[in-house]
Amino acid sequence: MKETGYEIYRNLGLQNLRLLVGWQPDTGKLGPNLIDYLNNELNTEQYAEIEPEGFAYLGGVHIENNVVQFPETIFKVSEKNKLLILKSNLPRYEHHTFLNLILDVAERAGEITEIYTFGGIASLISHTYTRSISTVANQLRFKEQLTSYGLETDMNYESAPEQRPSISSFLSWNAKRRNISAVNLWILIPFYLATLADPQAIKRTLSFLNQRFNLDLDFTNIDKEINNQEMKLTILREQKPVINRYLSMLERGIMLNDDESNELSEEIVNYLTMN
Amino acid sequence: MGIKYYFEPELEKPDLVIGWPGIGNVGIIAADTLRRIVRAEQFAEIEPYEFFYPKKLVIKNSILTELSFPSNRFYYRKTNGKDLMFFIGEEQPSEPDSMYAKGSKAYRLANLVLDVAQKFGCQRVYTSGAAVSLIHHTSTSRVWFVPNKPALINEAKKYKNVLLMGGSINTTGQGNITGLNGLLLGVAKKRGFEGICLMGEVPIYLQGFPIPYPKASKSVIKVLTTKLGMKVDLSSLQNLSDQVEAQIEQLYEKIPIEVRERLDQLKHTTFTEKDIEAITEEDKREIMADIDKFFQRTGGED
Repeated sequence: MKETGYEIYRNLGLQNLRLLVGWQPDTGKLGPNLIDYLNNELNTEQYAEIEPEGFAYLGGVHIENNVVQFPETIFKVSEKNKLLILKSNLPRYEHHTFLNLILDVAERAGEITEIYTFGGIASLISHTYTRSISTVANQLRFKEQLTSYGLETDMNYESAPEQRPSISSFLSWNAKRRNISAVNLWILIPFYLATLADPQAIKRTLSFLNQRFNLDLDFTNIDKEINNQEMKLTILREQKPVINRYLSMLERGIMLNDDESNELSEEIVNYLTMN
Repeated sequence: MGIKYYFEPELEKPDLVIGWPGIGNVGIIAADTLRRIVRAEQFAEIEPYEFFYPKKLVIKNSILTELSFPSNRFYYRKTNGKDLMFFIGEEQPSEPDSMYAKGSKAYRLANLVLDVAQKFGCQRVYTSGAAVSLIHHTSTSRVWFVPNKPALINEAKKYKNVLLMGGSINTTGQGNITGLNGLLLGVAKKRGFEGICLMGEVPIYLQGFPIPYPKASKSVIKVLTTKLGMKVDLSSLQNLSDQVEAQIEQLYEKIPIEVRERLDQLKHTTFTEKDIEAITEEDKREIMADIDKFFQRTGGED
């Protein structure tokens, strides 16, 4: 069924659907990698797609890892788990219209009762530090439902004058206007993994979803990625004492200065990219 | 989605004064200062969601408690003389690749503003902005008077310190007004409103600076209040203008002497067409090249 601006591939009419949203790009590739993992593990099926026209820059294409990229906003569904899973590029234009279209298309699949967005936050932590998840809910009752999952639920924040709120906050606010419960989940990512992937952060988030929705997820693949990355970082620490020193400082909660942080990031990005 | 009225005041053929941000914030400072002076009261707003990205977020104890948007408010003031309406837009609805509003979003916003004007019997609208000019910051800013109907041209002659595009500024009477301050006048023309843009002069070498230029706003207010037959106290605006000029002076002193000497020539380019011609387009390009070079160098040193 093709409508203006979007296409719905399957009629669903489900009750108590939960919408999971991952944006790309994202810090530590958290959003897109998390959604890809879920789609793969849950054998989701395509539900709908929103066209990029009017929302994305269409004056050319971006190339990443030698491959042409194109903005996409794709909904998949796991009927068994009552999950609607959205992976979307961040819109460049008409944000409000775009977010409302996401909610419209989601509600065409059935009754949306909860929305979860995911995003990475670069932080001055070491990769050996347990990833914490901070929550920002749009309704107190919904936040209270999430307190038993080991999430951080005492966040206080006010954006700086030149700092624009995130698209996830905007979606959550739009959802509230429709009386839909929404929560933004912010996962801490070691700053030196911000431009790479952080499989530990993904596993931490998957664990929450697994527990929340009884998904019975298989973590084998993500564990392999974690082990692989940890092994490489261990080798790097052995090869480069200065990197080991910086990481040890972070592990002990000691702040690095700008030069040290930059050196650490550069070395780790180069090493993990090349190996 | 559209206009939200808190109440509907009874107004008699009000004039509408509009302010949006822009270079030196000339227009919004002029409109908002006048609004405060006459103690205009808010009665409506344009719902911002369609036009703007949120500007502020507040989270308390992990609850999203506030997501606020740039405001777009209407005010009114009944006076013994002319009733007044104000529209103050905190931002122009620009896209990521443009500094100013343009396209369908800007057109929709301009029409919404004029819908309110029409509803209350308004026949004339004023916008205001910056006229980037070959003047020195120690000079009084003149006001360029740009009407949307030929019949309004003669009105410019009634005011001091005012000039038209054609004649004093250039011989062709041609130019552009970027963003909503210009677009709104065009839409007003299409819809039958009288419209005038009052553009306060800002020195060409300050156009890229993120500082207000209240001296130009003051000149704009003087023209507006003359037209409206109002006497207003502009001492607070004068104080702000003095503070800004002191900041500019500090910066000016740091400019290399050879560049400053060229800029000092602009002190003599006010009020007569002959003087203006003393600075050629070539001079203008050279002055801007000198300024750009200076600030690139300063930026590098920082």
